Amino acid sequence: MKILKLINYNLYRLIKIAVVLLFMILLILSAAQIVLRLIFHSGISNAEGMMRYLVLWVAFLGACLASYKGRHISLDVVSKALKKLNKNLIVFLISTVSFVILSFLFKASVDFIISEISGSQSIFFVPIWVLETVIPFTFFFMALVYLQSIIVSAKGMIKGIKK
Amino acid sequence: MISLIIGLALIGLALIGTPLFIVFGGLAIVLFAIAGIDIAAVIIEISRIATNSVLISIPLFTFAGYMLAESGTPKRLIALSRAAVGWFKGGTAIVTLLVCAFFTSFTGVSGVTIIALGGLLLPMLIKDKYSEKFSLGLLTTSGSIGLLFPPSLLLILYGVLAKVSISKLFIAGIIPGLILIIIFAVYCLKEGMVVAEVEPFSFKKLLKAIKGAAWEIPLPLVVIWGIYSGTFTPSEAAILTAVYAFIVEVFIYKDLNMKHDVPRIIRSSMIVVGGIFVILGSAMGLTNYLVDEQIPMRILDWMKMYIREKWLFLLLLNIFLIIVGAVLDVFSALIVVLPLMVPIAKEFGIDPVHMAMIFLTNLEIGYNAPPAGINLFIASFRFRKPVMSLAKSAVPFLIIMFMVLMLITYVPDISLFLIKLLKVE
Repeated sequence: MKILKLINYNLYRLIKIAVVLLFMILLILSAAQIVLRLIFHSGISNAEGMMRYLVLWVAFLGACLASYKGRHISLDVVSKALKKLNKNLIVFLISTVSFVILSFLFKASVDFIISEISGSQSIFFVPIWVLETVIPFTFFFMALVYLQSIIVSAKGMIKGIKK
Repeated sequence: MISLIIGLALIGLALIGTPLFIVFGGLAIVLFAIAGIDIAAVIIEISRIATNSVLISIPLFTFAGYMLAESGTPKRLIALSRAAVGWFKGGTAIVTLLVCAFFTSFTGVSGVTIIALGGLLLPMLIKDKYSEKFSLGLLTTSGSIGLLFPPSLLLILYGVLAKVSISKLFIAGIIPGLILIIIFAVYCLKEGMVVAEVEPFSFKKLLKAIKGAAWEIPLPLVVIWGIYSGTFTPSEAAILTAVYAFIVEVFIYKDLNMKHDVPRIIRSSMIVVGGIFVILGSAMGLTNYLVDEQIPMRILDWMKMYIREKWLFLLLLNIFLIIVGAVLDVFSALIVVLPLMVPIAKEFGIDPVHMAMIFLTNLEIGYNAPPAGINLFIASFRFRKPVMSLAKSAVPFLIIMFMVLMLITYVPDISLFLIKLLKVE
């Protein structure tokens, strides 16, 4: 459990830095593209494609942060009342379902990336399949976060039963 | 039968608080598996996010909105509106309306308006002797009042999902949005009669406030002009807005620090964007499957047995959408329900731009409606008041919104007049 917590925390710190850096690159690249278009009637070749993938990266890394911080959009009317009754049980249920579904999504996204490798085009010398790796990475990180949550809530439940 | 059981189980999971993107993703996986389709198809839909050039505007406008909300902009805009309209009875309530509309149009309906402005505006209203009930109702519902104005996130998402020109939607939303604000303002004037004293109008004060907010005033005008004149696409307008807000708040006003504030704001805004994008990705697989399975057409065939008149369809659509908006969050409601509704509305001869205004006004109402209107929960958190008491405070405003919704629904020209006049393409 300690190792899992450490891995998640360090990945979270890495994502925090990456999201800021990538967003700044997106901002600078997109601003440069407009300036070039308006003033010089030209542009950086492939910049638009790169900007679209940067959007995918900042959004999915943002989603990773949302998972770590427990800030995903959810309906919390009933859950708030249920959590008062037995918070650990509800968190355990939600985390288990999330972990299972994310594992399927991770597996499907790895298959997708493998299928993309052959014949993949490049943007700025980076193959597109590399730019798409943020999808399996996101599901992998989210699955780890929910795995940690499963263990914490299960421990809480056992503690509660012992008490 | 299996689909029904799985569907019910996932509804149960959504109700206990499972993130909605997990619910939609899970449903897509199960339906694909039942239909014998490889579940990698769900990921193909997600990867399509990177093929849509309009989506770049969502992180950039959201970032710009957060930059403005976290800086001194709220104080400067309140000072400006107060100097402009705060000198007559009801003026403070109108200040609230205008400033909230401005912020919601930039930050989307992510609750930032209430969080950023609630603490500044509520004491002002109470000090002016407005009742607590009116003040709370006004602040709660104002948290969504700007969503028909450009560059609202929901207008962009609608355009992406329904394949409607975003420039058209940006221009079309102006008149319905203004009508809503004007009717709210009339109600504010009526309630403003309780105000004992108002500060006299001072030209000097107004000039000072204009000077103070001189860098922020052009923002919405640049967006609208840029798009209307065809100088910028919505994505380019988003880029300019983000760069402009960044330069103004960091280097001109120096309200925000490059080292500490900017990284924090990027992270907070991208958490919101990430939350929306994963719902978009997971729900796109689901809705495309439903569309491929001809579900909208089946619903349409069933409906046609009972409904033939357009007015009746519109009425039922409104009721359905208010319920959806009150139960689901606005983004999920839009992403999941819209692709199913667009083909049906088309069959009934409803213009896609008109449909957008109807759809979004409904969500605006649902956003504030009990039992699950998210604005009520955000306001409850911000003002430390029970959700039900806020829901009661919101009732008069919800009635006004419903009246405006009826106008928008049955007078299509309210939504279409401006784009016809300006020949927006």
